Amino acid sequence: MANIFKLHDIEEKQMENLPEIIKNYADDSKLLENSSNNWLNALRLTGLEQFKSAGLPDKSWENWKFTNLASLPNYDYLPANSNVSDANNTRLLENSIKIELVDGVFKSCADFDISGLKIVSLKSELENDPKWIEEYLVNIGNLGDNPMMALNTAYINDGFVIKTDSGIKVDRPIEIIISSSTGNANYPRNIILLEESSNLVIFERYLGEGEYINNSVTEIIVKDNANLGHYRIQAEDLNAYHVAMTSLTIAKSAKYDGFTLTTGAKLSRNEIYTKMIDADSSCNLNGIYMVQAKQHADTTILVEHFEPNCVSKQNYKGLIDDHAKGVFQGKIKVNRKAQLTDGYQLNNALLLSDNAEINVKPELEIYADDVKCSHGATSGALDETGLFYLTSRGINPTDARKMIIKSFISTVIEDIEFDELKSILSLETDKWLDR
Amino acid sequence: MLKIENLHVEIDGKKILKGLNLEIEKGKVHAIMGPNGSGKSTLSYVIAGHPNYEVTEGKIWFEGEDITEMDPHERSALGLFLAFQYPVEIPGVNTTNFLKTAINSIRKSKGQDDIEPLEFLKMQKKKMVELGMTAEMLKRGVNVGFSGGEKKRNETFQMSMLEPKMAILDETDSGLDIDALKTVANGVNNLRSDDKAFLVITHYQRLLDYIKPDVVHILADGVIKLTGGAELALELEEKGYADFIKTEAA
Ligand SMILES: Nc1ncnc2c1ncn2[C@@H]1O[C@H](COP(=O)(O)OP(=O)(O)O)[C@@H](O)[C@H]1O
Ligand SMILES: [Mg+2]
Repeated sequence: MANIFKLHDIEEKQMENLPEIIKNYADDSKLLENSSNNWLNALRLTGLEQFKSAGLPDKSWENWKFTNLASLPNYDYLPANSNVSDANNTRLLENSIKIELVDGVFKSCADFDISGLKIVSLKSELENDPKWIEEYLVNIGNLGDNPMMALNTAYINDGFVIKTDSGIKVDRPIEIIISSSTGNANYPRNIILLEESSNLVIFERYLGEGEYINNSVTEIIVKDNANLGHYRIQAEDLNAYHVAMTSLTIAKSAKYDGFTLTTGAKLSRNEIYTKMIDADSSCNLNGIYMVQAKQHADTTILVEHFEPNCVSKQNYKGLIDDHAKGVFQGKIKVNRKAQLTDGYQLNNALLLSDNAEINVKPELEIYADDVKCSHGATSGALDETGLFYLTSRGINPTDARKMIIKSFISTVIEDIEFDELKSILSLETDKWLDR
Repeated sequence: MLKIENLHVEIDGKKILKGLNLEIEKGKVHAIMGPNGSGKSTLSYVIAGHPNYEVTEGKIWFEGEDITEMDPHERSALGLFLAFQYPVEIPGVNTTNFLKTAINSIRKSKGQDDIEPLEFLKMQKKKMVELGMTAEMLKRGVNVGFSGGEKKRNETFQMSMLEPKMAILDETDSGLDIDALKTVANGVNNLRSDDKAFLVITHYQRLLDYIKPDVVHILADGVIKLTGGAELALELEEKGYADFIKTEAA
């Protein structure tokens, strides 16, 4: 994620001068036992050192103007050990292959009979076949720019690893349920690799109970002509902290359709760094955030175009109620070679209360001369004309309000290329509106 | 059925209606004509209960009930309907669901059960054909991607489905070709009965050839300037507004 943050002015601090909160998160007693992979031990150490020297980002950081992690709880959260209890959450998708992660630990994966599809825990892959994953764990840019990723790296231990072989079209979606419980700091580290011309759909759901931190890093590689649908519902406990970093690499003529629904967590940061490294590929990075009470939901996206003729779309809708805050930072960077880039970015926020707040930072950075790029942001209250139209037909104001809100988010739902998700999102929206 | 007394209306501090009086009896069709910007839409919005229009003086009664302060959905439940001059687009909400919600909302406020789905579909099919709506249009978001004429058709279709006691049609004829105009007029005429009333706002005599009004009013300077029979509309067409209002005022 080297480019998403401007390098913070790091001073080498002595351990004893570190703020209490940093000491707590990086305390020796919490560190993992050495792995038999020396590169992993070195990597964890780098993560730890980078986290200690960088500290937690605050307003003085270029990309953290609107989200302050100094409010992370400063007490003794522990990464879960492997003895976490089983979970048995029900699937939402009828035909899916279910995976469960509990407190950052890969607990189970349903049986499936699809050759060329690999689903394993990171922990087991580190023991059994660490060679191929090393590249995807080590090659992650400057951790000093991204202390939460550095912290995750210090605790690399488990997570999910999903890989399709070339040409494999998986006809069942994979449903990953990531649940967390109170008092934990979870650091799942995940890898999704689609080899050439393979197809896959992944649906992640984040749930939990209590106050905890879920600090995940997911490395995604979509190789030539491959097609990944990647959908997430972040419905963490309203007392939880959710910091998800996604690093996405899209190769030639490949396609990524991504959507995130954010309803949970007291504070969340959904950060996606997309590299379109070869020509003729496309990606959708869409989503909806629905926040209430004093929730804070941050979506930060950088799409970097390196080669010609790629399409990238970011389309987010926000519903912000009560004293909640939304943050949307989206950037499209078009490098010199990336002619004929089609880059699109839009954030529309609906402020449902006088105290609701939205902060947006849209950016375009363009070095090629023949491109089509646009960005836009709107925010405002409910459409009164629409409300009047509906109520004039006899619809009561409560239902009319819901209809207008659902109408507001409908366009971004219609664009999703996985139909089963649409009805799930509709139910989730109803649940949120009826809360 | 509808009685408006000394109605004064402002929007954003601007006085639009200045002591308007109007009474419409059951079974009658009244037409209102008037120059652009004279406040015709304002009047229709105020009767329907648009929250942005402030009634600073005067009262509106519907079937003997003072509705001046009522919410729009309550007025609709009493049997009032407004066909908008500029129908609103509601993406993601299809017309069928929208109408079913509206019908059930109105039924609920009267203590009735939801409409039988089959009965609803039968009624919808019948009126669809009557008003030249297609199944495809009903599946789309309300008014989304509709042409100007299709939107007006949809307004008339909604009116026909909700079967109001009194409907106000705000320039439902503008933007319609002659065939569409006949269809829309037909939709209105099919609803006409002794216990229903209509207020037809229009610029053109043309519509009134198909929907024969009992009474014609001219709205200007925030009041009803002149009231007459169907012949007033013809006379108006001949002389033009400016001339007409001036002579009358003089
Ligand atoms: N929201 C508004 N704010 C200020 N003036 C308005 C607003 N809406 C309408 N008006 C003014 O009120 C007057 C009457 O408008 P309207 O009722 O639409 O006229 P008509 O339908 O007869 O053409 C016009 O002068 C118009 O400009
Ligand atoms: Mg008008």
